[in-house]
Amino acid sequence: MKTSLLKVLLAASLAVLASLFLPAASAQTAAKDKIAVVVSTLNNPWFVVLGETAKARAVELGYEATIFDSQNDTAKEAANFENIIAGGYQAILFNPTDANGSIASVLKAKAAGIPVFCIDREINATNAATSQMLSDSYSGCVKLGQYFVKTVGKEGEYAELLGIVGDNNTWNRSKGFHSVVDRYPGLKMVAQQSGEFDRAKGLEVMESILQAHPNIKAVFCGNDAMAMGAYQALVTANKADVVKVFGFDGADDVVKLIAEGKIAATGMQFPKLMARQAAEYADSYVKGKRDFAQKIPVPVELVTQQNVSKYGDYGKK
Amino acid sequence: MRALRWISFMIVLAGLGWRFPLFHVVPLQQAVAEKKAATFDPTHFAGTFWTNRLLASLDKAVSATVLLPAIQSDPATAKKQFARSVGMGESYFYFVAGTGRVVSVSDDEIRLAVTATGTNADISLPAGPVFGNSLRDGTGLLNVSDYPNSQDFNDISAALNHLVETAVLPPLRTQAKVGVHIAFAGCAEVADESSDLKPLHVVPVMTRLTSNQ
Amino acid sequence: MFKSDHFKRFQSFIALAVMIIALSLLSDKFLTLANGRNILLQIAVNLCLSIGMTLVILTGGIDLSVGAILGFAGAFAAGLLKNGLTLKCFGVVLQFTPFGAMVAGLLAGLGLGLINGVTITRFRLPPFVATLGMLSIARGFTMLWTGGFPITDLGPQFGFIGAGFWLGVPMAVWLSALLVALFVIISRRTILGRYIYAVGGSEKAAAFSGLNVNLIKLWVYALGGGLAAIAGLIVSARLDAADPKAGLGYELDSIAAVVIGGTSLSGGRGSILGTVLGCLIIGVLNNGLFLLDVSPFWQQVVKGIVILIAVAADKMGAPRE
Repeated sequence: MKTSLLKVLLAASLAVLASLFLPAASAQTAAKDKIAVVVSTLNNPWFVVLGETAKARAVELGYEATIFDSQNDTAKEAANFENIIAGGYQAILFNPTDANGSIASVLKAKAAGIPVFCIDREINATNAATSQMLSDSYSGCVKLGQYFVKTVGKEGEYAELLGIVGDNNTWNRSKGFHSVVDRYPGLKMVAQQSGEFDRAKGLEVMESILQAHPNIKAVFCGNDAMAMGAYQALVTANKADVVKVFGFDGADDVVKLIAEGKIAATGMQFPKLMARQAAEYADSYVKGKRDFAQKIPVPVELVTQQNVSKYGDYGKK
Repeated sequence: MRALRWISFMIVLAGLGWRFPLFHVVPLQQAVAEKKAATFDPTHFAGTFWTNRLLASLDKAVSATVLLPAIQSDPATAKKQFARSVGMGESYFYFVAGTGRVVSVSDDEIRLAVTATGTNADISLPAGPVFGNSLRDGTGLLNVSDYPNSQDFNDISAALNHLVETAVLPPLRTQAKVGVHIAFAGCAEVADESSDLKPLHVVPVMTRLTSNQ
Repeated sequence: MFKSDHFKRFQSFIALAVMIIALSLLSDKFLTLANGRNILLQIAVNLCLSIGMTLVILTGGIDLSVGAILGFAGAFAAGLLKNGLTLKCFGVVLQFTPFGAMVAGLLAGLGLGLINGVTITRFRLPPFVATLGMLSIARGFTMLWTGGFPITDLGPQFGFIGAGFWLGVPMAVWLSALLVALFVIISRRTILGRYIYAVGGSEKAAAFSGLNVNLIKLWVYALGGGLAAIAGLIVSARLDAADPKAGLGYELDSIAAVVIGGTSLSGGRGSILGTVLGCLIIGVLNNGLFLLDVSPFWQQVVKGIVILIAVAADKMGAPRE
């Protein structure tokens, strides 16, 4: 008897706990429209910035906004979409987990009459989302590759840290970079390993690479978290001023290190710009606008020691 | 008895397999051919785009003798008047044509003077590898919204650049000597006004030797 | 002992009922037909995994590879459907039909599960280690098979088991309900079911009384792999795409469901129906926290607390050993 009582207590306390998180204003929210922000993962600060900015802008525009975390899992993402459709939301600001795997979810929302605005990543369909703002990783890494050749030279050994191998962006970035660098036969990639977009993993992989290939002149990293990890490894190995580090994303700590001359360059994506724009599009959709460009490329800008003073806080100052 | 059971089981299984086949056998060559037909071929696309549409639209390019002075006097007005941009970025493109005198030749670039005098150059044509999306985005003929997978769109860019490297640049390199005049048409991407405008970096669709003097 | 089992199930049931009542009071979106369907659809995959996990845990083992097998089976079937199987030496491609691809995916799952069983029974590896190894192997094979990219555009025929409907209820829900019914019967009414409980209760006693303990374990792990494969087919069908990362971490959700459902991690005690309640509790909790707009960060905390409390309650109810 004692234990069954315990479970009842558990459920009751759960209800109380939940009501604590319930917006205190459940009485006054009745009339407010709701916007959902679905983010591929909250395990990476870059995406947290993206999600929080979209939410904040939606709130500014007078909506009630909620962030959903897909945990990099298209199945969890599909569940999020079902909950959103059932929950009576007016619009979805969507950072897709996978260009192909997310299409089905978007089509479901479309069928339910909910507009979807993609942010940062695209879905490989032009008949599903209302509009897509996509950060052009490939072209950004072409620019980064050109700068790489310019600063490292046309000869020498270098290493590459890939992101998660199952991720589209990993390959878009790597292919963009190699479309330039592979044209110079003197530049030899001696190691290509996955740092899983993770700072700790990037550090670990870089340490091993330095053991095997002490003569590398540069390292290209698929995102800034790994670039930070690689930089830490170089500092420990006393090689920070010999090996040039290239990142991608435009994270604050990397931009700061570029300003200090410790990291060579990164590609600045504009999460805040894209997120705010998506929220504004959703707002104008709710107010009746229907003609949106299907795909809106958002170019990635090269941040180097020459122009770093213009950048910061996940965008242009 | 047991064998009989096995045999009847196998017969039922075979029947099911015949009614609901698990797979069809297709010759390898046919499968490869079908696969190829179904995938987007950027090289083929770029080739037809180049001859049918790009070369046919060269008359839409703004004249360098108009554009360059306009940029000189006020880059912002020139941008408003002649440039086109894509998406939300700050970079923009000029589609430009003109004739210039070669003032310098290096491994990486060939510099021309159109309105500039002496050894100053105001146009730079590449001599080595070509990168970026200047040709794809600079003319306004192609729209990313038509491509479900923007990776295909990026492949078009690479294929166009490859055409420039193989069809346009080799004759240009042999013709370009300091002092000769060269006619050109192409696209320039401007990322950052302070560095990119003097000279303007043009990826050429066409170049022609106009005079040896 | 039987009586206390029933009593326990009753407890989980009360907990679920209280949650449902509380949530319907807190959100007007909760107690609707559409939302009920959502919850059942969302737990369908975890249900398939958890049935197999329950059988494994009942024998006193654990299976950490179910998420990875899910990913492999889904990708394997999608690859056979989309690209076929190239046999270079014969110069042909076997182009699989949707049905054939599903059968192949299921067989792949059964096969990997069987390998789990073999390493555990023949090479005497602890289940934790054996299935941990399989987790990594299956993930690696999934990456090799797909090249790291999702396989997409699988078509409506394949998609039917995930996205299709029958009588207004999603096929995935029918399928999981059918599996629940099947395995409730297997665990209660068949010799295999009784032997599973016997092995988990005391392996030595079971062996002394003449049971082929190894054979039973082989069956259990193979079934676990097969059920994971069905879950993988459902996931791929629902998304119209097989993601090589599919199922990452799902083993933890399924262990949580089994544990919340009152099955003892030391084996021999628990039931499929308890696991169904466990899945429902997790599903309702997930859905409810969404509907109440709880921040995603807090959602994870709350879920963890519920697992801890559920197991604590279970321990207090169990006879002290």
